[in-house]
Formats: sequence, structure tokens, C-alpha cells
Amino acid sequence: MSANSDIPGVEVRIEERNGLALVIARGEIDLATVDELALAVDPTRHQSSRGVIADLRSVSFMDSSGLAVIMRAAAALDGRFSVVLKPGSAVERLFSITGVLDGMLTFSDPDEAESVMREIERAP
Amino acid sequence: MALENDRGVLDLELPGVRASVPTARRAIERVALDAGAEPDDIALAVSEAVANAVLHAFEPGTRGTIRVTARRKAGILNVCVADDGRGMTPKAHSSGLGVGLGLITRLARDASIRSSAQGTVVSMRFEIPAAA
Repeated sequence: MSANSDIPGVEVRIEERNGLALVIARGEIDLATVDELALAVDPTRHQSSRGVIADLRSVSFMDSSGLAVIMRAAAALDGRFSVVLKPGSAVERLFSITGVLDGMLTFSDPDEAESVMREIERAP
Repeated sequence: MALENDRGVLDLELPGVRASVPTARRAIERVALDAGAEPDDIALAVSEAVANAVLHAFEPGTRGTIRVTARRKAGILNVCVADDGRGMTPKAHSSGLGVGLGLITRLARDASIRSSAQGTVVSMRFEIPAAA
């Protein structure tokens, strides 16, 4: 039996959205795949961006390696980083049971995330 | 590598490399489903335990082994992740070790960690809900 034959991995792409970077991840994020997410949300590559939205709605599994990457990006981009989660998903549960959900800008829809991030940007 | 999950029993030996994390997770998910246990929490806990072993158990440049076993007994799925590394070594700039172990203790009914110079063993017990 080939134990690796059914490992789906992860796909991460970045779209520009009115000056915001929308990072869309799909698949499973763990120690074997987390580098793709880390590269995509790396704060140094988004210094000229107005902000970053990490859309994790299509991530079917994530462990603390992915959570650590998200937390580091959120801290570095202070107020210019938000996460989109699918309600009831395993990823939302991870954010919830680790207490991260309460301390991070999270949404269930990227349009809502964009709208709120623009309001934050305009706030004095 | 030996894999046996016909009756909710697993004995899987993996190299101490990153790719072993999803391999172990896939295997324990199948075991949990076969046993009638909730697979998501068990898969996450095993993912954390194997990742901890990959990141922290082995001296740089050495090739270690991680063994994942599962046994079903009286409504409980006992899962064990053991490595033959150097034992737990606290690091000032550890990448998520504390979060991973904290998650394991939250996800499992109970969990224990034994560590020595011969390796670390993470033992976790998960309830198997009674069939409706």
C-alpha cells in the first residue's frame, strides 16, 4: 500500500482586489504544506499592499503550523490582516478552541472582510 | 512500514520527515471512521503529535522513526505517537510546540507525554460514542 497516494496537499493563490491582497488557500495545511501559505502571507511581500485577506474557506484541514503562520502575519500587519472562515468548518473550530478567533479580524465572506478593512483604513 | 486497520487497529512506522504528518493523519482518520469515533479531533491531535516529533525529536542530519499505533478497547480508542529521538528539549524560539501539545490535551479525553533520552511517547485516549 502506498500511504502517500491520497495526500491532497494545498494550493494557494494571490489575487489583487482594489489594493488589497486576497490570499485564497485550498486543501490541507500542516507541517508538510504550510510553507506555501507562509510564502503567500509573508508580511514582507505585502508591505505596499493596503492589507491582506486570507480566505481559508476551502481549507479542509489545518493544524497549529498553519495557525502559527496566520498569527504571525496578523501580528506583523497589525490591523491590515483579516481571515475568512467557513462557519462550522474544522478550521473555524481550530481558531475557536485555541482562542485565536476572539483576537483576530475574522469574517465568513471576503466582501464583508474587504468592506470592514476599508472602514478601518479610513478611520482617523 | 506495517499498516493494519481492519479492526480499528493501526501500527504504522514512518520516517521523521514532514511528509509523514499527512500520512499519519490519513491512516488514523481511517481507523477512527472504522471504529465509529469522531475522526476530525483525532486526526488533528495525531497531526500535532507527529509534527512535534518531526520538528523537535531528532538531531539535525539524523534520520529518526515515528511509530503511530492505535488500539480499540471498551469504547475507547487508544492512540500512541512514539519517536526514537532525543526526548523533549525546550527551545526559546520553538515554532508552536506549546500550542500543539495544548491542542492535544483539549482534543483527547486524556493524554500523557513520556520523554527520555530514548525518545518521546504521546499517548492519547478518545471516546468512541455508543452506536445509536
